[in-house]
Amino acid sequence: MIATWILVYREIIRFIRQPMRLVSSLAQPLFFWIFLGTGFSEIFVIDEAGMDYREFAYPGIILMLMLFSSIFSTITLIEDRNMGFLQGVIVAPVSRASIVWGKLIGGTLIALFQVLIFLLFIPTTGINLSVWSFIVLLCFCSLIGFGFTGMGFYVAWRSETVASYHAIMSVVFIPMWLLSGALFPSNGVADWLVWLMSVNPVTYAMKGLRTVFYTQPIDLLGDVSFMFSLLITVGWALFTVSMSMRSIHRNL
Amino acid sequence: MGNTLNTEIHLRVVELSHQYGSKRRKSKEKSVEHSTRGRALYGVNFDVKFGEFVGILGPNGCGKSTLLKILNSTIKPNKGKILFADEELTQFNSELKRQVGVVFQDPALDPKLTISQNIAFSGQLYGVRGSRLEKRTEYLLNQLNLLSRKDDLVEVLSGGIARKVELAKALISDPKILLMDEPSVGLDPISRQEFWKIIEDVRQEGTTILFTTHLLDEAEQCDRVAIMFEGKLLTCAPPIELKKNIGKQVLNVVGTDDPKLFLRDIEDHLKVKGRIVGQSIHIPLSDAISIDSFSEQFGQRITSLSTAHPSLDDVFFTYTGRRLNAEPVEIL
Repeated sequence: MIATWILVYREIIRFIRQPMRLVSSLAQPLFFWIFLGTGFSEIFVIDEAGMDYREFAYPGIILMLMLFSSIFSTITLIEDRNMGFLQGVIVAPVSRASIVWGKLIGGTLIALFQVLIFLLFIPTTGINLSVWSFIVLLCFCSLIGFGFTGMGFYVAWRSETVASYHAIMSVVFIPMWLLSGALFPSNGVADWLVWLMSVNPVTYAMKGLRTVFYTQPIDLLGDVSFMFSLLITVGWALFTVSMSMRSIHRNL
Repeated sequence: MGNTLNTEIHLRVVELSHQYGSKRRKSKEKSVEHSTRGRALYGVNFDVKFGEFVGILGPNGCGKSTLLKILNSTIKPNKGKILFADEELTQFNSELKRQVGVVFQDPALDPKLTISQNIAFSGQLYGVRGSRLEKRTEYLLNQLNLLSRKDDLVEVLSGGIARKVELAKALISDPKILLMDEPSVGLDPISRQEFWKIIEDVRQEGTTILFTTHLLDEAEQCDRVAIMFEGKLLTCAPPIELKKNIGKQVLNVVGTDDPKLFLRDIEDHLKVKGRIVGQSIHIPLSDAISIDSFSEQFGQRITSLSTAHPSLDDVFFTYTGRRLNAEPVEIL
């Protein structure tokens, strides 16, 4: 357990020493949100209440932020391995599970820190977030963080190079985000797209996250749709974490 | 060989075999035993005594690094076992792993952390914490002349200093066994000399040391040298004994001509196989070839002529039929 926190501490130190990582993983979602939000808000009206597109995209951009942050965190695993640093950890008297947890908790904490920064823009969206909703939001984001970092860890451990990780990121991770309902709702789109979205676990993470923004925590308990999304998100996070645990027993 | 050695066995390697990708291959081939593709180790057996300094000598690709990776539990062997003081080493045996310090062939440092952070990080993973960690870190920084640079990021260090940090990392937990995989690769001669002086100090403290090398001068310093070739460990004995066992002396010739041309002429004339060592040529002495007869035949082309004892390379040649290093090596 102590080994896990030592590795988490190292992740955080590395993050602090690489300011460009913070800038790039924050700037991209911010630009997406500003440019897409401003551009589409003149064209699309999301519902009868006339929700602004920027407001609609805001939770989706948080999901994107979590995704990018997790990607940046787990991609360092390939650097660690190629630089040889990881072999020093593997030979140490620590369990391999603690290496996985160190990376996943470290990556998730860094992602949460970036979400906190992005939440500073919430007053511009018109969304009112109570303190309790804020806490629930962070918990839900943590769950998403484990889902994404678990996915990233699994792919990074099996990737020989950063380029091969990028390939998986482009053809799997980003489409999973695009098809999650982050940028457009599932109602009214083509049937095949609805089907794809329904089998994408990130869709349920997105639904849950969006619900947290607009529902009081006490009401979430009675919200069947939210509970279903939560269940799928927990299952997805557990699956990706267990896949990471399995992968680490492969030889370096 | 000056050290008094405890006769107890510290490390025992029993019938160790490893073949890369053998799991995948098993499903494709009826018998993995008959396949040699990806075979890195084959039936390796040897012992290392407490406090002993043992070098594994062999060319690149002979299985040395695989052996070290198995010993430091980075990879799991297909067959065989490793015993540390009669207890079997596995990837999950934390108590045993705590007693082993490892210096890798490639750097295993985090460039974004400082020297002292890298050392402390390793110490914490090995269960060294609090004031013990502080004291031990300071002691090692002092020993290795790194104290003034302890807050430098590793990414700005030269290869020699980075190697010292690697060593400090390996020694932070005060290991009973130090495993080093080609530890001086990439070091300039001065850094290399400095590095081995530090190792000598570690050795004097009674730490068991096992390292791999393809450099003869490094192997010469060992209590015992194990010769490895094509995944097999061919012999393991003190360097003097190994050389004595192959017996014959050699003629050490320095000529006025290019050594390659001179060697060709000598081989054509005397029908013997010689070899070039730096600017010298080594010719095995025999009944037909003596220092006088050689001098008579090639006198005008010789700058100096002497007899020499066989080197470890000659030993390697005797066991494997090939030379270890074509390039000359510097003597420490």
